[in-house]
Amino acid sequence: MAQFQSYNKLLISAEEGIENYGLNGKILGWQFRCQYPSYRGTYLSCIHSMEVYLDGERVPDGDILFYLNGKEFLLSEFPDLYKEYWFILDKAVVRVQKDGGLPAGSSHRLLVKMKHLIPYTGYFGNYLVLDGSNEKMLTVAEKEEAVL
Amino acid sequence: MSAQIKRSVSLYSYQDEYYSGKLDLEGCLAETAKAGATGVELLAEEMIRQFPNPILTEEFQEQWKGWMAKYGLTPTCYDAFLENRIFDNRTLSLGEQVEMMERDLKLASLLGFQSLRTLVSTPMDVIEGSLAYAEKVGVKIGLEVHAPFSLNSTWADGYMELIRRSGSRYFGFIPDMGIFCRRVPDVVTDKWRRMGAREDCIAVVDDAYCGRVEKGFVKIRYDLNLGKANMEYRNANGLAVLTEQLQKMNAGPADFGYLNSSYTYSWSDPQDIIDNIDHIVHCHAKCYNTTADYRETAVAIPEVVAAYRKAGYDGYLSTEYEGGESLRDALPVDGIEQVRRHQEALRRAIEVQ
Repeated sequence: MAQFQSYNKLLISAEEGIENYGLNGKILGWQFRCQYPSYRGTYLSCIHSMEVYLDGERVPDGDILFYLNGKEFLLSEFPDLYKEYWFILDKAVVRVQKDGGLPAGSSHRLLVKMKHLIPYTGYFGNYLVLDGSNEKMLTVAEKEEAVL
Repeated sequence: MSAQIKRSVSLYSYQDEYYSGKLDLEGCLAETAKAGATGVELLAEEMIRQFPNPILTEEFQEQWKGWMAKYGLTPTCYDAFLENRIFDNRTLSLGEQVEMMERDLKLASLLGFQSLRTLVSTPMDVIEGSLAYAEKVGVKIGLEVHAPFSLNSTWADGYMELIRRSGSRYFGFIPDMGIFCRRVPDVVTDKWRRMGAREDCIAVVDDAYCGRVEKGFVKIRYDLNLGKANMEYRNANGLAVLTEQLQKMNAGPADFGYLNSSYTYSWSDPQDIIDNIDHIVHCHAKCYNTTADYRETAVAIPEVVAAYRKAGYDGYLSTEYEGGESLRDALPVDGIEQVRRHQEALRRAIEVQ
């Protein structure tokens, strides 16, 4: 479905790109920022799946930490988060736990896919589920980010 | 004395400027006033962080009232969504949906809105169950009549029956001007062209649309299963035949995409407005592309506004710019200029001698 897909470019924020994150000089993984791709926000419970691929390889869901509203979530917690509203101007930080992160200055193809239900489209059982995706070539920043 | 139609802007129109940071909520209000409107329509979840909490605070309410005074604006319509599938495992019960509707009616009244837009997917029981509260807080519930739905149809009859049964003045309709499209908006056609639609296929789809406008659309009927009703509506208006025709032309995905997209616009007789004026609480003046000489390329603004004038309407026509949806994947969007042009087009149609 090509309708309602015009905001998919926001799934990966080009502004921050890929950054390593860590603590006391030890790099614990890499991260990118992500906005909800619509004209209004959503509850995290409406996000059915979020898949992250780096250079064609799927990142296991269990390696991903999702930061929003000052809190940390696992993707597997999303179905229960019907009170956690993702405001459209707020960039979530998506962290992939990986010792050593990614080499600073290296380029990578990042792909994010998101299936999300629009909770007001109920035609008696049939809700619209959008299948969004965005891919960007990004260079890993030289400076690392602190642990949130 | 002739009735005075008033103009409003839905802040939905400025979504690209809002996203890019060019306009914040107050900036959107300032632009609304600059465009010449005296009314404003809000999607609270879109522009109020930590919805709905701030609206419940006196601080925000005072700030909002201050903005209304500063920019000379009146709150017109609060766009509610009735998100009844926020739980992963089930749809909200009827009671929970009524609670959500009452929450939104309360939020609307706290900010001084006169009406609340509810979507066609709102179950009738939820509307009926909320009417007493709507009356209590003085906010009218308006059911959006969005393409492919129409007034003067068996679909609308179902809701007319609710109006008769309840005797309530707090429920009515909000026509969306997308039901008065003489053609598929040019920005929509161009988008499918960019995605690879062929000229011969576009011509087939456009000709068929013109044919439906001339002959009159077969109207959608009332059915609890809206998805089924919509499919029947599409086929009654030639979708199956056109699909077959495109298949014979070896059409590609973009051609079929354009065909399907063409069924999200429709043409109703502007007389529908006059016939139903007693039950119209607000109007979404949908627009897709208004030219520099103030002509909307798809919506029949002069005819529709003439119908509102003839009917003696004294409510608001609220600009709802949606052309950006067809542009932003590839082209810049200028909601500010589109709203300005559209407000001027409305003004000219309202003030015509």
